[in-house]
Amino acid sequence: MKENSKSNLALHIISFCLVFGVGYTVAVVPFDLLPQYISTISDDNQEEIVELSADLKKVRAEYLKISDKADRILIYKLFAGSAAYLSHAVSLQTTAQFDPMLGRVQSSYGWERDKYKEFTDSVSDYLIEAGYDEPRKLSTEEDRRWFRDIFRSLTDAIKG
Amino acid sequence: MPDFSHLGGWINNPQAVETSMKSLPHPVFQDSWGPIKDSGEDQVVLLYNFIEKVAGAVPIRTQTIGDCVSQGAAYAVDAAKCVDIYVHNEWEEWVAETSTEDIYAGARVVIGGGEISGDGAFGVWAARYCNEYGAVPRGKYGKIDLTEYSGNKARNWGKPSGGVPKTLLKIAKQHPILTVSRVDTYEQARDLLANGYAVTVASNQGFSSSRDSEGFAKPEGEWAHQMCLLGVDDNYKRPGVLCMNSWGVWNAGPKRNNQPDGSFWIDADELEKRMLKVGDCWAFSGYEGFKPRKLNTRII
Repeated sequence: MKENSKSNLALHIISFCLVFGVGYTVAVVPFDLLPQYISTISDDNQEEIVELSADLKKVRAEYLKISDKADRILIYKLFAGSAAYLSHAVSLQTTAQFDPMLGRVQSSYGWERDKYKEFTDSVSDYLIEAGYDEPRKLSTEEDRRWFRDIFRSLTDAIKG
Repeated sequence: MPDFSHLGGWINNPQAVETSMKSLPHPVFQDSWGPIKDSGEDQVVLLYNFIEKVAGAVPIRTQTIGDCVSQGAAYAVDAAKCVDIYVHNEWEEWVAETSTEDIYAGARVVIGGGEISGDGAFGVWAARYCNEYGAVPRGKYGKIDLTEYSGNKARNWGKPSGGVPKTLLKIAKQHPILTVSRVDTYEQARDLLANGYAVTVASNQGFSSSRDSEGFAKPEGEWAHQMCLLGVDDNYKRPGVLCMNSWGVWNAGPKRNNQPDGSFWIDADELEKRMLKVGDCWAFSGYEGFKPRKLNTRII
């Protein structure tokens, strides 16, 4: 009987941290209030102007209320790092496997969830709207793209 | 070695076992062995490793009354769950270790009809209860608290006038073990374990509390007892099986293959002639488990 290749949490966390460490340590995000449209880069590298959904507008509004710049940068890194990680994490088999990793990465940064309750509420509302709360297998490329795009949307919503 | 005789709760009654097993769809594994026959030859399969990977650790049960039959069965259910999740990649989640009080009462009262007044049960009763009803993980079920093991609760529920609370029985029904079948030889046990089946073993055979240099325990003394096999190593110079006891950390000595505390290896020939031949040892496989719950969305 062979063991399957179910994720090794430690390896996932290391690769997740690498995404942050290498890809986003130089992320500089201007945090001025912007209109409710954002510029995003699509899969084929085309710039798109997209109107934020109501839930994402709320995420953005709450995000901009956070006065601590370091926290805002960290939140951005967490979302962007998640999206980048999920673009490459082909061994992740279910969406349920992701949260423990995110939690460990957050702990390693000293981040405590619910630090900004209203912001957490808004993200939670968006995630429920996006269907994140229903555990789902990541069997196909489409599943993986869907899951990644949840975090890409969050990143885009607070960008700029 | 301390006296564990009060924990022996397996009742040797071959005739009653034969009668009780008649209602099972596949009572004897011999009849359905064909497709996996000899597949365990030279294999090393350690179900306790799957439990560790899924649950984080192998539960170390410490029984306080003669409910060993339910303890052994609960280990088999734990293993079946983890094989489903880890090996078969079923869309289920580990909730907690399997509770024993309901299995004990279910075996004695629901299946056995409350005919035994003192502690104890037959292995077949627990196997049938897990198959015809089911098994639940430790936790709270309304007013029923099965979070922590309670020997007193097991004894009370297991009285002829007791039984499994109806609400719990209803929940258990949703989580049965899908197949149970009697195991009679080492080769059968080997092939079953190699294919992810756990095997309960009941007999009057006792074992030394000191493991030898290879992790094996020498047969000695008498225990009217049920335990569970959670691994096979047929590739070693001493082919054998890993037996998990439910007396906490009751034994000591060298270990092999990262075996859990409280366990010991049994030589293949000893297993067959001293335990399996008694005729009340059961393979468990397939658990109707718990679908993953909703994910936490307060992620930031």
